[in-house]
Amino acid sequence: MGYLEHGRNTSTDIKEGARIELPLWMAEILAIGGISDELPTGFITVSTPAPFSNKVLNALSANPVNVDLRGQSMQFYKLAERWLAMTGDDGLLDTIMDTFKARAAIVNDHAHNTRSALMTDRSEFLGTLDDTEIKLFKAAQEASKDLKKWTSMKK
Amino acid sequence: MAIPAKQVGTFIPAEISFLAENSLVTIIPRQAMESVGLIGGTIPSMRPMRRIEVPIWVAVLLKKQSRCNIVPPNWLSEENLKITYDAEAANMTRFSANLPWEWVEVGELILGSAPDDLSSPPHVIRNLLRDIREVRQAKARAGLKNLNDSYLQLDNVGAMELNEIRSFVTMAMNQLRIMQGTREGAERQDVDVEPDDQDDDDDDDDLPRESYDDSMLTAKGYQDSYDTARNSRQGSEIGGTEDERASINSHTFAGVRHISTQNRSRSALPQAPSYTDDDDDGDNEDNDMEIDAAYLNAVNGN
Repeated sequence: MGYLEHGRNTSTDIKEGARIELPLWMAEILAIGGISDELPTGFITVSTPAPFSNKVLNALSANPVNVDLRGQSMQFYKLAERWLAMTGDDGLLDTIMDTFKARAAIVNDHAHNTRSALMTDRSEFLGTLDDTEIKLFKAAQEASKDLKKWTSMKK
Repeated sequence: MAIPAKQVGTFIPAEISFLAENSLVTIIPRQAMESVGLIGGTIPSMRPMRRIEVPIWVAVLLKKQSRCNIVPPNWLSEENLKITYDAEAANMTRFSANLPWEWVEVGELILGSAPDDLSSPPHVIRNLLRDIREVRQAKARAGLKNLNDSYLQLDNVGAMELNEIRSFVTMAMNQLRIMQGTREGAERQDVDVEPDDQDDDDDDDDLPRESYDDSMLTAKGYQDSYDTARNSRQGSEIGGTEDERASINSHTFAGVRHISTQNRSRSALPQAPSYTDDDDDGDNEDNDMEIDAAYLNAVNGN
């Protein structure tokens, strides 16, 4: 299994205590399942993924709007769902929910003002949205566009 | 019959406007006409210069042929709109109750079809309507800052205004609900109890939850939405996985959408298996009844 370690020899085994990066789905299974009945601990201990490190969380609680969520993870909120389901960390959950609410409100504003004074920092902010937020943005923009189309049709 | 993905979860403004055409308006006929019995209701017989109430679509049709004059509703007069505007501007946390549910649509319809019947110049009315809409939009936007995973309260919001924010709000609330679902068991119970306290009517429990689920499936086909609706129903019986629900203040509206998605799914799948479980059947009938009530409410403008 050595190939899971970057740049290592593929024929050797992973040593105990080594730090490796695994897909979340695999980490979840390995962390939960015990090695055997005598050794009920999991194969691995999972350390916090980078998007939920203290550094990012501090930045999020300071100002959710200025953080580049897309840079952290394309699927920040989906990842958060899985991670929270694994760990059940309520403090982290609160931070992420607050982040989502604060950002969603601004996403909505941007979606409704296509030509606003916010135009300059607009593209900057929209570049930091994760996939869930992009979907939200599209939904809000569609609704606003449809309404404008209907109003102009009537006149 | 293919429906654009976005319309599975929400209405387009033209549809909202179409629904609003069923609300009643007073007209003064210029000609006599026998009463007409229609499935949706009877149009009363008309005598010249005697006021009667007819659905807006009839009024617009007759007006086009110069067979009647439309009497604009009270709230659409210049004075009342000014009063409404002042009330809206004075209280930035609530929508005023002076306007009916379908005020945007009715305003547009009457302005479009009978500008000469208004008591004031049409552009004055139009500007007032636009001002009111802008004030109210600002309030809706402020209200969205208070999003949470279980409900959003927007009293006296209009059909069109609700429709404008529906797709955004349902998506955002679903995401919050999923995240909230990862909380530990004890706290999850609390979340569960809260919405039930908010509305006394336990019966509509099923309706908002399911329509809500459907509305999330904007990108999928009917088969998918049908299956998911079934799965979520079964899921809620077995594991209680869907026990948290979100309800927007106006359930009725989501309900109407729900019928249409359900009907479409069914007609698309004539061979679809019927529910074998007794509980399921019960659920289903319940839903149908509620849908009827919800539909009537929406049509009657409640």
